[in-house]
Amino acid sequence: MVDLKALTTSVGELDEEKVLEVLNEFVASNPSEEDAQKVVAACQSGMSIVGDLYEKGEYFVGDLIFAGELLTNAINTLKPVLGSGSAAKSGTIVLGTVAGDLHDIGKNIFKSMCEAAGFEVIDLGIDQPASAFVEKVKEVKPVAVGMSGVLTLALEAMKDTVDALKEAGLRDSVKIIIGGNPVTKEACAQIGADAFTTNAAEGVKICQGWV
Amino acid sequence: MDNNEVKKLQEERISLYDDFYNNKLPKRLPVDAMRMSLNMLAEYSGKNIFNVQFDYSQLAEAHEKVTNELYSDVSPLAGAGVATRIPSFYQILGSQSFVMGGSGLMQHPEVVGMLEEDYDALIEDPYACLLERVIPRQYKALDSNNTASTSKVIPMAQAALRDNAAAIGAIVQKATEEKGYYPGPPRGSAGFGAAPYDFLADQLRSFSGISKDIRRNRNKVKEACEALYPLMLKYAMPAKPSPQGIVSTPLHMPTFMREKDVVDVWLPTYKKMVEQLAAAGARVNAFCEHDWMRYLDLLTELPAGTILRFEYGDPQTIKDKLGKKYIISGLYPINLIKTGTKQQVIDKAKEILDIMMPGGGYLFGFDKGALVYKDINMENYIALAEFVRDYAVYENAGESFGTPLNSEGFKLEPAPVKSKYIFDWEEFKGKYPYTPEFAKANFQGYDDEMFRFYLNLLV
Repeated sequence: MVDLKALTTSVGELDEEKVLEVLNEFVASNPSEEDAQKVVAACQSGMSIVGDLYEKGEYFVGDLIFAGELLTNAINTLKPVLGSGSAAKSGTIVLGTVAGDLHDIGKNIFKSMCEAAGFEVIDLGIDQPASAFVEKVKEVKPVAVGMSGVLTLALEAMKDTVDALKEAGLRDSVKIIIGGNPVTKEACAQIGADAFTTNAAEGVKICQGWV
Repeated sequence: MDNNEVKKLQEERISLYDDFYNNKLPKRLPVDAMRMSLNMLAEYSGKNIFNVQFDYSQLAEAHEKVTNELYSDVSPLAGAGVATRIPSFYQILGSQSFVMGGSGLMQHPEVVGMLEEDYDALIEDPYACLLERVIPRQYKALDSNNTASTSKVIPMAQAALRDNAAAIGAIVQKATEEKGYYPGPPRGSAGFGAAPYDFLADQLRSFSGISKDIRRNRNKVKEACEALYPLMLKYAMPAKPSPQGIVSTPLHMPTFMREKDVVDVWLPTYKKMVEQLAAAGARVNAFCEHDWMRYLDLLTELPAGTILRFEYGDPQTIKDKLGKKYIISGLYPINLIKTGTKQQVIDKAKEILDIMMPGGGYLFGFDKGALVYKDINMENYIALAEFVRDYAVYENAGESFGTPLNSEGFKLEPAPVKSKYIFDWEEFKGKYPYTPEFAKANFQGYDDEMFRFYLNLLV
């Protein structure tokens, strides 16, 4: 069996070569599905180290992007031994960049970190109208809705989206988090979201608190 | 104002700028930051934001109104440049890098123009790699398999750019003449550029792509920056450099990177580029986007006289560390214009000016430009402009300050772009032996124009 602690550390250090070497060896040893799930969990713990180091200012956005890539690679490597019954998800998050805004780097980082934390993320994409959020929330009944935007005008679109969720009678069934350069405490209150952040790692923690 | 008064006012304004950029304390700081973007003007005058971007002349009246209300020493509307992102131009070329969103703003989504396997080709002949691989991916109408379509859309795009830029230019020129605004630096002295690493990140590998490459293919990234350096230098180099002319380089990536990567990979080629521009007498404006406080020491490696524009950071620390060698700009939070009271807006300006003005070397400016009219409160904007005009005055005007451009005495080290697509006079002369020698410069000029056209697509 793999040294899970060492694996977690390697993921935290973003040492891709080492992580993949360990995982390839592990897969070749024909492990049980249960052990494979433990290895996945160890990788996920590594991601939360990455999040902590980001919050401490030791890692930067480029590192978060790479971390997302590393985790995807790790899970793909493990796929053959994971079997069909994948691990229990923490919950579903519907995520998108709001209408009028085409930026998605921040959204994508948040997405990969949420997935690393065990959430199922449904990514609507960029420039998404309020109706797209409403439809998806109706369909999948998520724990949370994440709205992202970089332009100042995104704040207005976020408010429109919250209003549309209210109108559809869905507002009370979900938590709403907004993220991106222009979001502030004041904007959050005005928009009627439950939380705001400009820090993906913090955003994941907030969502975990809602499960 | 009659003509003579306007002329006199304009001369006064010219001397504010000339003094400032020649290290002489001006009578007062030029009010240079109170810009109105095309989108802001459209919203301010209630025009349809989609319509005006296909007929900029519709903004003439709005601009005239603004120039009567808002104090500025330079036209609030800037002339058209690469950063204007004229929609017709990008749409004719089928751009996926610059597209209009539902809000009417041109935006730059995260797109990949260069694949990981293209590194060797880029290092071998970067210009060819851009023309053959990157541009066709980012500009769907420039499909290299369809030369008929390509040869049709390029002149169309050039015509659209020329006409739209002329429409904007006419508004600016009229206001400049009527109001006696600073007419700008000498012709041909301004420019735009990018750090090689930022260029590689932005439209070539993408933010996400480069963040992977720097860990997986660090040496290739380094070599790619070196290979791109001659192109970036050629693109940024103004035809006729002058201390007043500014070469703008928005700096994108460092604050998202680890310091060791910035020092080893990002900085060397950018530093060399800024030094070479200084050697030619061209002044770079390095817009330090985001928070550069952890990089202040690194910035001291750039040549004297460079303009460092900051978004976030502590004004006093920046002044103490960089104020003697560089021109500092920015730092005023544009957000306050929207959210603050008139008094708060003015107090903030006073606070920053009191720190920055002593000893010279600060040009009042915002942390970032307003994008849409709703980003500002016009009354506050107007009040701030008048406050800066009246408050930012030097009693000891005429005294020298700071460190002049190229005090270090950098020497020009030519770094010609080598590519199979750069005009080759010897080859041409061999083919057409009767061509006189003086025609060489003409052909090279045409070739430079196309070089600029293609690079414009990727910055």
